[in-house]
Amino acid sequence: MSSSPTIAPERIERPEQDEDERLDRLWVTIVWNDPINLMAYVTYVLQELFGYSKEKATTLMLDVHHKGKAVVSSGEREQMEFDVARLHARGLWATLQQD
Amino acid sequence: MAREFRRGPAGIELRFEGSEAELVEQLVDDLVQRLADVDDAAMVTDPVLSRLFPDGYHDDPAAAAELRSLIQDDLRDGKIASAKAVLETLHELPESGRLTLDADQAGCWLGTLNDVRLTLGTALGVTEETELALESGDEQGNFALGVYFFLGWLQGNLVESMAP
Repeated sequence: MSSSPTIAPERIERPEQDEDERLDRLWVTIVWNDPINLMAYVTYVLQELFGYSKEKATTLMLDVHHKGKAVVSSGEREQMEFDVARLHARGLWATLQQD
Repeated sequence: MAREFRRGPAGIELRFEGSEAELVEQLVDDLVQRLADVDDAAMVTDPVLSRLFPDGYHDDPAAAAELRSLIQDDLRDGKIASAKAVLETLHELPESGRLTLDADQAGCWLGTLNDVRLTLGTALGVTEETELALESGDEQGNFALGVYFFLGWLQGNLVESMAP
């Protein structure tokens, strides 16, 4: 009998489970702080694009300003790519990633 | 400096003084030229262009490149169309320097002023401390920075007069 180690089935299956879990996770759109965009402009854009109240848009803008970034929307990957494109069209620095 | 940002019956009103309108026109012209001449490689290597067209994915160059190929032509065309709409309003500027912008035109002004500020600010290496440096006198007499802050003042007033 061979003594060479064999790969236990669970070692093979685990990555696939991880993959499934990743696919189930939401995507998020993140706006990053930059020194050029005006705070009032960032607030305005978040209201305009996402229909957020002035209060919510201001809170997100302040998170961007003080913490360096904020999640501004979440959902399917394609929707987040759309949101990133709309934010880039208005000059905000945005990326998407899995939550 | 320019005055009279307000929401009038016909739209957003503003009045330019002296050579302010010519200055803005020149900068927007430059932006249109820069956007029209853009090539795909420069989008990634040129600091100004990569700020105007940033990667959509932080740590995934392949996904970023794929998204870029899907959206960058539309993004560029949109920015050019907006800038040209701004130039049109400036070409029709009366002697009084008084502009009245409807909602669409005001939106174009807002976005294009932002693109011009991103272009200038990135080229100048603006940081969070730049405004302090100007106020404390370290950068006084720097004409380009003066223009950058004039545009910020203009855009700030515009967004305030547009806010819902």
